[in-house]
Amino acid sequence: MSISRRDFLKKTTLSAGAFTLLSGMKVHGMEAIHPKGWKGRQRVSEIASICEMCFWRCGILGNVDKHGKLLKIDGNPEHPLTEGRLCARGNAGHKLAYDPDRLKYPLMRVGKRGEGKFKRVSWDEALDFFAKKLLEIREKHGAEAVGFFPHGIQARFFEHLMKGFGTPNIVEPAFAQCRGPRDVGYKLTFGNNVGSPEPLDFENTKMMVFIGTHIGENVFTGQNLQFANALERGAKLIVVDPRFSIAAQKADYWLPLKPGTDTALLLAWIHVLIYENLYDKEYIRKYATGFNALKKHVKSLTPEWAAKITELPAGLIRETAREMAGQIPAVGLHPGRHFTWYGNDSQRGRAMAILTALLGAYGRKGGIYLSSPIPAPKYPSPANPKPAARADGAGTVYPFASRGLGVTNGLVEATHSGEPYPIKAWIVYSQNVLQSIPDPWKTKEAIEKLDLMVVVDVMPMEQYLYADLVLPEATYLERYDDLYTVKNAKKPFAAIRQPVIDPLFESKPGWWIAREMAKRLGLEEHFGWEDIEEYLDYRLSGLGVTLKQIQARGLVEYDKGTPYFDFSKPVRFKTPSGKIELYSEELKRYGFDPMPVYEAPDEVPKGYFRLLYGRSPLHSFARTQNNEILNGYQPENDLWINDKIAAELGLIDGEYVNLENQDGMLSNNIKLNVTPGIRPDAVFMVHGFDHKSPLLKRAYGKGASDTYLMSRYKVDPISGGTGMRVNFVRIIKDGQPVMISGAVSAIGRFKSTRDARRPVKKVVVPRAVQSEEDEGC
Amino acid sequence: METVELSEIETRKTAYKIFSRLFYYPGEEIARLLYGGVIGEWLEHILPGKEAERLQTWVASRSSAADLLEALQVEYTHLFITAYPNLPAPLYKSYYTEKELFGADARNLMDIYQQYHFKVSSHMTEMPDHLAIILEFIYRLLEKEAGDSLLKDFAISGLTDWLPQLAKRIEENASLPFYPSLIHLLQEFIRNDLSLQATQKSGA
Repeated sequence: MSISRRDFLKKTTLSAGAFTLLSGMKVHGMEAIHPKGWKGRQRVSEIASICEMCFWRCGILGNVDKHGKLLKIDGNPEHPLTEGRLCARGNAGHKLAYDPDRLKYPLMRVGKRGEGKFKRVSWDEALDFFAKKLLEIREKHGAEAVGFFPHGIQARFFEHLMKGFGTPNIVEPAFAQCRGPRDVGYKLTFGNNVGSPEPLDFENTKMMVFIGTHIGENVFTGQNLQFANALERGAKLIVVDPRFSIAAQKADYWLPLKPGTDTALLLAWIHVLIYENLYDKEYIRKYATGFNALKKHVKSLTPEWAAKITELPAGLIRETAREMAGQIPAVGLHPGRHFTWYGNDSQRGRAMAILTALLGAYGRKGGIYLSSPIPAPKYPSPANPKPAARADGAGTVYPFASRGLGVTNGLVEATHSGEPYPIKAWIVYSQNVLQSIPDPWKTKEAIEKLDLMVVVDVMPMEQYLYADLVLPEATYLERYDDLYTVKNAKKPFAAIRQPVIDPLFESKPGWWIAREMAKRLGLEEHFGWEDIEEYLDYRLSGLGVTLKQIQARGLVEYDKGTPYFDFSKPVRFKTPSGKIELYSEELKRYGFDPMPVYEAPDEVPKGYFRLLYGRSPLHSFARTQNNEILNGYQPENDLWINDKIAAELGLIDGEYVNLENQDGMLSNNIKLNVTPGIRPDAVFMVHGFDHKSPLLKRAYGKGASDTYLMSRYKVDPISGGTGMRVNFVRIIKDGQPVMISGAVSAIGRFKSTRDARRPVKKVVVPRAVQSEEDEGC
Repeated sequence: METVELSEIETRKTAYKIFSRLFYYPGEEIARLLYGGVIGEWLEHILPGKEAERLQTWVASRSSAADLLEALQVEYTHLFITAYPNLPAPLYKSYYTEKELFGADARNLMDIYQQYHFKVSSHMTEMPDHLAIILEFIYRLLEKEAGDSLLKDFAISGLTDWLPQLAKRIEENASLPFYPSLIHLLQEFIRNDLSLQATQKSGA
């Protein structure tokens, strides 16, 4: 039946009942504004906050238009570490807030787990369900049956909640998949973690030493700035890396060692410093213990010994050690960041710390400066219940693992095996457990064993598909977070994250989610503050300011930092002996080598390459690949492969191949980057690509995932960190493996991009094909 | 049965209001009105034909209002909020015109709303260019009896340029007949309404 235009709407009749019902129906999306009273939202420019596009948390200024739209983000010139600079990721942050793929509403699973079928629910419905399930699990299995996987300062409120709830199983990849072994190594030696940002006094350093650290690709704006300034000032640079990284291109010495042999190089450097009497003798005599044991330990670990292992010339090892010694104590030996390489990484951390000590560079000008605690009191909260023993092995199986950050892979194992006790629920908060923890297949199997899987996030990352409940968190641009205190700064400071724009859709800040859950779990007293502003005021009270007073600048400095030791007073390190421990009784007590011992990594099987991975300046972890701007600049990663090897294999720059690892795991397509800038025994890709969540429309299936080629990992028995550079790959082209038929040397092919005034002095290239490695984090 | 005859303006207002409500996330009230046949009756009345019939037939096939609500909520989530492997049909204009949220179109709409002394409610968690909000705005304009010529200009630029894309995506991805029928009915209604206004303006 059709209706003429003239008749349309002219003869509408309804039953009186229907009319009443329809007339009474309301819509609530709009409201009238007084014609004269409404001036529209005024332009608010330059709201200061802190970035979260990576963990460096630079100062930002958000520019918002009259509609409340964040138009652009600038660096905050008041920020002590970045001085107004901001990297590409920081500049692209507004695209996270306006990403159409972001999570918008609480979602409840209605299909099978993994099917991706959800129903939008209200926050009340979501949180009531969440709390009910947690209480049921605690009643039946104990609070320890709940595992919490947080990441970032936004998760601190929920972590506080989980501690109040009673679970000990709180685990972050920042430890076991990143800097855990480094911090363990330095803590065992100096009594303190390195922490973040790494407290390197590049402002005064005369020599920078990077063991795999690839600043420039691994962009932390403040550190990059300091690095560039140090180079400009004339500081020297030694870079140890199997790859001709951006940092290597700036180096005075580039040492492309055989991957996995770093500890041998470090021990040989230690040998040279001691046996050529070049170390800082007064510093060691006064502040260190175990020197004689160390001297004996490294007696045979000569540069000649290390040369055979590292494939670096003995003379170069000796020369670089002497170069370092010539700048004592102003040597900035970068402790590294992503440190979980081969499963013996705490000992590599120890070797780096010991070398730092011999150079007299800890707590000294130009070396590593001391962190300064910031008086930001915690808001009063009732004592937490005494938790059960941990399931992840932190403090037990892995005696030196952080109990604060835990061992993610340990908790995955426990969930998978049900030992030492069943884990029934995971709460995954801003963490991508399937793209950060190796062996994602095991992680998936563990998830399948759970009674409850809750995901709190901004974007629908991989684990979202397996969630029973999804809670949309507001982006870092839309929320307050806990106070960010930076004690690793020569002038320490506290910075605030505050909303630049209102939260979009029904996303909520982490503090709100945690407090609402607390109400439902009977833990209100753990969140006794009136509102988030009052909470922050309380924390800032130790610095003598209020939130309101610092909102315009976004931060407050604390001028009482003491970056160097005052040697006019007794110096006591926080180790059992009170001294720098070159020899560790603690390690010995637990059955570990008290001094670092080189362990050879597994050799690369014939026909394979060692899989190395690292960073790009345009992306952070697996978090930013869906960002419109960043995806535009770098939509996919590529695979670095040595040019001579590529020629022998008939591979062409720019063509796509697949990778197959030693266990038959096949990668997505990846484009070849044929370059002389990598050893012939390894290939390299940037971490974080080939997202498996199709809801990340831009990132889905783009590039290859390093994590999904990590069916193996080797656990560091000291820290629990997962050595992940133990996987090997071969090239698959047109469905067939491309085999290496012989050794190829790339000697003499590397060039520095540095200007003629400071050419790379020494470039050495590997002798053999069979081998490995690199670094980053 | 007692009946009520609606004026043209009442009819148009009611239609935009109903369509607006139907494109917000479904709640109990809308499920009750649908299941009770009130909305179906209305749609069949102003837009008689197979789409209205198909919609009403499907609604009537559900076992209860609660069953209907559950089905609509799952379908709405699947079509407009999130779905595996791809979100089919977001309800934001900027998504189609600029491939992002809160784009220039959304902000232009905010300016238009303000021009007519409206704004998106502070408690509203949808974007200014969400289809339901646009429809609600038209309803409110009619309620205020704002000029039809302005409404027409706005309606053409603000609605019709992206609805065909939305409709296509809904049709291709819906697992239930409800939303495909609904978007067809909405498009038909707007076409008819604009034609009517044009005819009246020309004095025909």
